[in-house]
Amino acid sequence: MTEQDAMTRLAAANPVPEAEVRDSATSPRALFLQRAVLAQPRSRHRGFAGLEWRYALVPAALAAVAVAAFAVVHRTSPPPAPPVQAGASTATPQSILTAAATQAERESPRGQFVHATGTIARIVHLGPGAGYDVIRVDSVQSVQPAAGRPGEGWLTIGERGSSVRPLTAGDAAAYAADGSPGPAELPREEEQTLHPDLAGDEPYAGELGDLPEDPARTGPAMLAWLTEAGRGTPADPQGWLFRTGTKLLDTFTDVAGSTDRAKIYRMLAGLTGVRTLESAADPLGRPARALAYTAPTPRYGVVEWQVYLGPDSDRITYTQAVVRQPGAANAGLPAGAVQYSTAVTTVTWSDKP
Amino acid sequence: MSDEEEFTALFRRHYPRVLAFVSRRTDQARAHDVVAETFATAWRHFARLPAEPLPWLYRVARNSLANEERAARRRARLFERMAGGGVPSTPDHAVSVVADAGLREALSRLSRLDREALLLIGWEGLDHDAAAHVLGCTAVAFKVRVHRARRRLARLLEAADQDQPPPVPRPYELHSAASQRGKSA
Repeated sequence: MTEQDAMTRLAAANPVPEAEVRDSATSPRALFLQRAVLAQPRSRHRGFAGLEWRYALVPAALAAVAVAAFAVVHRTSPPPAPPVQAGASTATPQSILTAAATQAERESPRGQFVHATGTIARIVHLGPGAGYDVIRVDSVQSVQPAAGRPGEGWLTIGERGSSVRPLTAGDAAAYAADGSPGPAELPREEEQTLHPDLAGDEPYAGELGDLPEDPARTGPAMLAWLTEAGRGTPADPQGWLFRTGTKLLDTFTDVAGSTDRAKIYRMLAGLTGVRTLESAADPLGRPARALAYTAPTPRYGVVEWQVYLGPDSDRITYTQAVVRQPGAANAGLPAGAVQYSTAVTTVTWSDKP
Repeated sequence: MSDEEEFTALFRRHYPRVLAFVSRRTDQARAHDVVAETFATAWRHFARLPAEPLPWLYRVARNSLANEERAARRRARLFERMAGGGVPSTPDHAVSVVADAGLREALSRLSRLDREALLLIGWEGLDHDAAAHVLGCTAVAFKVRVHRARRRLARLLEAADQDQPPPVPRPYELHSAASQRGKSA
C-alpha cells in the first residue's frame, strides 16, 4: 500500500463529512450560542497585533498615571457619576441584561434578610352568562433570607389590603349591577401565586449553583434538568427560559445569590426573541429599562411578558403579562389588557427577619 | 463594521468546521460544550485573533478537549481508587468512531501526535503551516512528523489488512521519533 493510498483511505473514513455540518451555523443551537457569546464581556481594547501593542500601552500608561494623579488631587470632590439614562429605546436586550449581570456580580451584601413590599394585580372574570372582568389588587409583603441564603422566609398576599375595580367602563355597569363585590366575595383561588402560569410552564427546581457559568450552557442545562426530571421539553424553550429565568430573579422571593443572578442574566442575554420596549418608565411611572417576550399560550392567546428593571440596579421592579390576542380562557378581553402584574414598591435589607 | 458584526461573520464562517473538528474527536454531548468554549474564548481574545483564525480556533478547541480528557482521566483514577479495581482506559474517540476496522487498528497503533498530524491533513484538510499551528510546532517539525506518520500508517494498514501483527519499529525510527519529540512536541 502506498502512502497516498493510506491517506485516501483515511480521508474516506472521515466520521463527520463537511456536508453534514455545512448549514449548522444557522441552526437554533448555533444562533443561541452566538448570542450568548456576544453577551459575554470582553476586553474593549482592539486591534494591536504583534509587538505594536507594547508601544500602544505607553500612552495608555501615561494616561492612567494622569488619571490617577487627578484622582489623588481631587479625591475630596470626585466628579459626579454620569446620570443614568432611563431611556431604553436605544439599548439592546443583550446590553441591558449584561449590565444587570455585572451589577448583580458587584452587589455587596447589605444584610441577612431582604424585605420587599408591593402589589400583585390580576384580571378575574365574574358573573353569569358573558359576565364581566375586574382587576383584583392584593398587597404583597415578603421577608426572605437575602441572596439565596438557606433559611426560612415568608410571603403574604393580601394581608395588608386588597381591592377590586372593574376592568373597563363597559365592565363597570355590570360590576355595579352585580352589587360591586369586594375582594372577600371573589372566588377563592386554590393557590395564590405571584406569577400565574399562563403558558403551562413546568417549574424549574434544580440547584442554581450547579448550573454552568458559561452562558451558552446555562439554558441548555436548565432544559436538561427539566428532561431528566421527567417533565419533558417545552414547546418554546426560549420562552420557557425567559419566563423561568425572570421568575428566578424575582425580588419578592430572592432565591438567587449575586453569582447565580449574574449567571441567569447572562443566560437571558443569549435568548432569541427577547426585545427592548421603547418605554423608559414602568407602568407606575418609575424610570426603568424594559424587556419583553411574546409567545402564544395554550389558553390565554398570545401574551407578551414584560419585565422592568430599575435603571441603575439589577432588581426587577415590575412585571406584567399583556394580552396581545385573547384566547379561549380570556376571549372577552381587549388586546392590550394586562392579565396580571407584580409591582415591587420597596426593598430594604436588615439583619433581622 | 462593529466587533459584534465581525464576530458574527467569523462565527457563521467557521462554526461548521469547528463543530466538525470537535465532533470527530469527542462525543456529541461534549462536542457542543467544547465548541461553545472555543467561541467564547475567541470573543474574549477577538482583538488579537490572526487574520485567518481557523487554525487558532482548532488549537483552542484541541486544548479544551485535552482539558476535558484530563478531567475524565482524573475521574477515572478516582473511580478506580474508590472501586478498588481496574478501569478500562478510554480509547481515543477519533479512533473509535472509524468504521474501517483495518484503519481503526492502524490508527490506534500510531502515537497520539502522529495520529493527530494525519487527521489534521486527512480530515480537516489543512496545509502544513496551518496544521503545525494547531499542534503548536514549527512547519518543518510538522512536515517531518507527518512524513513519517504517513509511512507508518501505510505499513500498519498493510499489516492490519493481512491480519498480521504490525511490524516493530526499526531502531532508527525509535531514535528519530524520540529526538523529534524533544525538538517539537
